[in-house]
Amino acid sequence: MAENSSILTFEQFINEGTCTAFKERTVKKGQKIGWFCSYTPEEIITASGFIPYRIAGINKTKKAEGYFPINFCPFVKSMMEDLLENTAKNESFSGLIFTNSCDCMRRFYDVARNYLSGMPAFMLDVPRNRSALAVRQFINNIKNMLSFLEDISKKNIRIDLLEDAACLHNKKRAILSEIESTFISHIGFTAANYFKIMDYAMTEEPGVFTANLKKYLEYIKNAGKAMYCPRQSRPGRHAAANKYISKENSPPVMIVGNFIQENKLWEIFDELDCFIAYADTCSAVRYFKNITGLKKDCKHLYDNYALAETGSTGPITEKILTDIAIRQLYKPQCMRMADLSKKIEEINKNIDKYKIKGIIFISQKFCDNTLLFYPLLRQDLNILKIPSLFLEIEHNNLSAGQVKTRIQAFLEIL
Amino acid sequence: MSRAYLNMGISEKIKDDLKNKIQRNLDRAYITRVLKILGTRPILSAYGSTFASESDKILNIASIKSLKNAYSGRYPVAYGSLFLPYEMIHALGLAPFLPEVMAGFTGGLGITDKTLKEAASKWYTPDLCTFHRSAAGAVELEIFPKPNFLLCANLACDAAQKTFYIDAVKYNIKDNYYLLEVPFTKDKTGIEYLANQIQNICEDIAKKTGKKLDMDKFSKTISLSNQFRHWAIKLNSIRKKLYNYPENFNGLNFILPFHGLAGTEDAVKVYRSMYFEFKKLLEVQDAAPKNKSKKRLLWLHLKPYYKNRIFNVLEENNYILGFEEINYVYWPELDTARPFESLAVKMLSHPLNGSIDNRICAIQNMVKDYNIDGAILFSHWGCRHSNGGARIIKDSLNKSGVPLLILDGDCLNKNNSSEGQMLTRLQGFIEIINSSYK
Repeated sequence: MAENSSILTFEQFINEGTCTAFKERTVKKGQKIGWFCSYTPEEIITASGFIPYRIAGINKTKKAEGYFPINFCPFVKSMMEDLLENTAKNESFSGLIFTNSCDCMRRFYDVARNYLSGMPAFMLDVPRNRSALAVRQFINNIKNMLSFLEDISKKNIRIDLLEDAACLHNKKRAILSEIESTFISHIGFTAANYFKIMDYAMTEEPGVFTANLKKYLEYIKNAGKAMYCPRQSRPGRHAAANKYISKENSPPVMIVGNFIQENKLWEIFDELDCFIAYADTCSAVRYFKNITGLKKDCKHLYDNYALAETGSTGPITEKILTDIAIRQLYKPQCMRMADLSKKIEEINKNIDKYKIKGIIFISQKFCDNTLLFYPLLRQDLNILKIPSLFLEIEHNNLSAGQVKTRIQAFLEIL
Repeated sequence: MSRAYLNMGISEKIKDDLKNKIQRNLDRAYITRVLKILGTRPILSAYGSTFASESDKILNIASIKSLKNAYSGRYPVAYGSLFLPYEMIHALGLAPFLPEVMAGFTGGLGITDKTLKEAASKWYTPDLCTFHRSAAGAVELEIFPKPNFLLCANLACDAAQKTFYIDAVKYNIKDNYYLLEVPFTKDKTGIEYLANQIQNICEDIAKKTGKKLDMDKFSKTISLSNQFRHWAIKLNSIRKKLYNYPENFNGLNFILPFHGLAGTEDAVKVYRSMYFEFKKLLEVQDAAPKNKSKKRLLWLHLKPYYKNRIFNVLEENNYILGFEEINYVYWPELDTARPFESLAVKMLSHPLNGSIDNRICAIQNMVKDYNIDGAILFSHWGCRHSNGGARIIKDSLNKSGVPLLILDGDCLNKNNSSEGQMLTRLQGFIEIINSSYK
């Protein structure tokens, strides 16, 4: 393992008891709303009194195979397996929020509704275009999601709850951004640790998680001071662990992909001492980047309306929902969005910013949106003379040896 | 000269020669030349006379005319994905070209190996739908006409929106790429959202082609679309009772007129002629009721477009396709005074949009209306949209006592389908249906 033993991982840090312990990590009936895609506005779930819990496909697909064809998204199959297992244990969610992300997700929604009896499910229609028209439509759809959650919770989502939830999630996003900078600059901060933190971020109660992560960040900055070193002067990832590798041997690499949450894969990156300078995936920057609008200090703007507002409709709610809709649509985009040139622009900007020397493109098998982006990205990278590696993986079924060899060969040519 | 060659019909010989020539001269200029010659009135008339039935003849003539326009260079060409409201393209005076449908032609022409190889060299992985890969390869090989506009919708499929965008980049016309976003649910705000998009796109294209939005033309196009719908409904109502089709008729060949020609005189002509041809057959059938012994199948999704024996086997076993999902008239009559809203309603009424409940509801209606004994879902490689719902469709049809065969294969790439395996499964399915009648 490439991990520096003198730095505790977030998980170890939590288990040492220095933080507010997370509640039991299993899904308790009536507490959580399951969600699947980074376009889901978690703040709406929090405002409705539930814990937003990203269903990440932690189970190996067995029974779920029977519901989908062979050449179908393995991630969706695995998420279905999670739902089947939770239902079997009678630990099911209070409801599920799907998004109209792709063909596979739409059919997943259908299968869940048909075969998980009694599980309330909502389809959030997320536009692919970015325009005023699309934002307006998205606000309408978020309002429908709000009504769905009000029906489940049998409570009105009050404006103050919505505002607090939005602030809470913005704080979480801000601290995750800090974690990202620390990951990039800190020698001992492994990729496995970084993505494990994301795992917690997407499944734990946001207030507790944010408080814990803040403490961990402090710990990293203080206890790990000796190993803290800005990226520009970093001598190599393992300098502090007396495994010095020259800077030339760990050139900055960017990961571009979809939902890649494979611990084994990140451990391979750490073992190979691969320096991930930017991870453009559904469980990294696309999850937390772009904190817009709504801040507590703007509250006075809403005061005039506060008395008039009684439920989840009204001018303040409209403002909050607009902020949320804009944030979601204008965050670092998924390949599902219409304007792929904007995605290429984003990648190019980050290539410059992080002095990227190579791109590792990782896609879940059968993900049409991601796979159909690669031909375009490849053309662009050829012009920029940035080498890229194309990896197609199967969720929870990684051919570790093969993947390791390919990444190793790619790093050698950089 | 071999005996088989001598026995081959003249029309088949002409078509095979043409196919061989296109295979040897795979480029846009050659195809343009062929279509120019084929599209002249006397040749077209002679070519038309080689078809066994009126419906086949009119379909082929209309297809050639449409293709000739797209390749002629006389009109701005608009690439369109399958479920677009083509009325808007015709009203704007553009020549529509449907890459996905034309990818089907690449299967028929026997050039799929080449188009797929080209796509693979441009990093389209084999896990993707063969229609889109083949179309992408044909664009890269510059077999397809050069587009001026690219319009696609997210209805039913994720792939077209991506491949069209790559095409737009290739031809440096990113600003002429439009994605029509079809909301998941059909409600008032969804209709408004979609209608606004259609209007904005039409205005933008009109501006770019230096024309004003001609609402009279829109009104006429919508009226033609209604006429086509009228004849299609009448034709379908005859098919509810009909057990004998014209020679070589295959309802799965009508994607182009049903979608791409909606809003044109040609679509009206195709469906009107088919109606009268089928009406005569019904009269003959009514005079000899013994013909009603055939079993009726509902075909879901598309068919293999290369030579195969599936339909021969069905015929040999006294089966016909009672109906095909793709010929279902799903939309209400359009309002000529409100074209954009009408087209939005048309798109939102498509059973493949939204939840699978819409598709199942349409399938159940078809089963009932067309007196269906069994259904076949051709599970085309790479179509997550259709195949992803197969289990639910199967369970739903089982509840109604209608068996469903999920036939795994590939509509274009014969190397990715095992015909022997498909036929064995088909035979087994036929036996199951037959046994239930004992």
